[in-house]
Amino acid sequence: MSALELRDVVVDYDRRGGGTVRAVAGASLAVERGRIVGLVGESGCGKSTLARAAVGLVPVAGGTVEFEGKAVTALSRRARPADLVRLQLVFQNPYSSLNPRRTAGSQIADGLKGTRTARTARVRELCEVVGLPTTVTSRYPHEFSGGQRQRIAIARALASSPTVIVLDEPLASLDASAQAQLANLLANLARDLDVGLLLISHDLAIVRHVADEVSVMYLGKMAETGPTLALWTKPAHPYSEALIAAVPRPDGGGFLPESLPGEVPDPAHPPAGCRFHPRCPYVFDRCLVEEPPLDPLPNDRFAACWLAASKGLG
Amino acid sequence: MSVLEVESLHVQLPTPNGDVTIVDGVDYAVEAGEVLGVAGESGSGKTISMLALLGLLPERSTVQGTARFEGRDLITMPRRELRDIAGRDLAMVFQDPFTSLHPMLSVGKQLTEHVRRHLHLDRAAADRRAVELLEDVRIPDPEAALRAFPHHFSGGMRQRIAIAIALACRPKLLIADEPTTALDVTVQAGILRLLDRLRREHELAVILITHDLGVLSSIADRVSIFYAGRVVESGAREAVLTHPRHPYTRALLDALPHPEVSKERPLVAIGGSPPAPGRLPSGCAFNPRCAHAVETCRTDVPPLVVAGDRRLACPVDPFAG
Repeated sequence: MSALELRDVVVDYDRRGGGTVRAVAGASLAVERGRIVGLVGESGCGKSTLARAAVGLVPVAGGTVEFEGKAVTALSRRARPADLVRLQLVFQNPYSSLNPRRTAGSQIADGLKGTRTARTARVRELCEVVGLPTTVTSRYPHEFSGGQRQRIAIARALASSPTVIVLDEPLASLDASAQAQLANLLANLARDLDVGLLLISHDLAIVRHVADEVSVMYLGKMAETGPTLALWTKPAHPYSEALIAAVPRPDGGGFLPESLPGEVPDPAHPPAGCRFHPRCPYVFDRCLVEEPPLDPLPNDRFAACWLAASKGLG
Repeated sequence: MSVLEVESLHVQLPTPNGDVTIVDGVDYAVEAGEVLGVAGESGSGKTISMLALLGLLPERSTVQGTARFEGRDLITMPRRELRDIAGRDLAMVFQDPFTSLHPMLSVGKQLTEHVRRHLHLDRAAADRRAVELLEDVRIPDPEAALRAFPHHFSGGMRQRIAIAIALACRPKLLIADEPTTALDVTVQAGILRLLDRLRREHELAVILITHDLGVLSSIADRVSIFYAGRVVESGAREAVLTHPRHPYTRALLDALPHPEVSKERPLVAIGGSPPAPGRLPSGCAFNPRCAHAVETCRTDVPPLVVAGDRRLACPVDPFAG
């Protein structure tokens, strides 16, 4: 059993002026302890909404979310079951997720119990785990760089000894060096502390580097999932292929990345047939009328494309 | 002749603790049809050195040095004259198209206001020019787009519109400050291809400021690496990025995940953090983070000098040859 398991999750939002938008339209995902699962896709594909559903921040309209075998339901913060403290969320922007008027140490200690001495000792330990000097505890968020602030947010999440942490774009807006440090930290958390990580990111290069598995999301559904390296070297879905081709390479070669024409359509009006067909370079008749299911391929891979099976993967 | 030639640019900004040097003697030049890529961590002075050219710094800032734009010095030019040039011959695009477009003015208004002011066109001619511009940046249905407002468009489309506005008066130079940072990679690729086409078709000179060496690598002809308000290495894209010689350039590249690098190997982060402006270490500003520093690095500021196929501010030059 996976520590965190989402099955056929559906999330609807009310649209201003009436009507609903289906941000997540039946998506499944599983995170095991000690593994890093990357969730990628363009903005508007529903990845952040799925992350919120995973931790019970938004109610699901269909499907199930289970954490350690128990259902995660959207409840008010006060009624949040004690078991759920082992499921933590780290937000994109550590500027806004930390309280500017409290010291880093006191915020890390929020989730801790026990005597003051024990808590202080644990805060120091957590600082060490995330690679911050223990002197940071008496300082305020504005005194830190973006990368350090993100570490404080991670230390705060670690305080409740989580088994799974969901990270929503933790690396966005950081410099390359800070990104590298944080990526290394994430890999260490999974390896040394046996924490499962769901890493939502639009930075595909970083996801490729740290994630064990990748899920590619498009317009509320999974387009493709599978082990990172296999997916990267031979993407089964045209959307994965397009995302990977769009990543610029820092090799000095002067190759312009491939652009994917068009945009993620309005989720209120998804295209008929395959959701990706209006942007797909390989589109044919069947794609216009029939939506491809997420079908298994060899080597633990899945893809929602009529052409995937004929690609000879595996 | 270069479109823009900046020499020995120094910028000091006022802070509560006195004036602080942000840009400390920077040189660069860009030719017509060329893309100059400027890279460095946040706070390295990349953006400030560009804002200084356009007279967009806060009151009581001091700017020294020369910035010859088509032979005329932008720094000493009277403000009124600078205002005429900035926006017409010299345009700028910023990172966030959400804030650089006016939310309550139609796209058409924002496009035509500009061409009417600078090119003295009448309304009908200005509208025709606006449609032309939107076609040029590949906005679908440009006539309808003129009547729409910025919030009707996605981030990528908004950045295209911001570029169209910047191009409205056929500038000679476009300064693009992190134009793709807030965008998805698929959209980023489209903007990079757009910039590449514009510089080929319109002989546009482009200064592209970015912290993303991948972006730099895909479009820049020449690159300048900034650190703590100075250029530490500059030269042809391929030379600098395939064979970096400054320890900082090398460290920046090593920090990136690379498709060929095994994921078992941790990424190599640069130890320490960039120095705060006004609190620079003595000698080379990079020396406390540099594995190759020798005694003179701690005492003498290394000048940027010609070193074979590039310019380099590192007398140790540990990666030469």
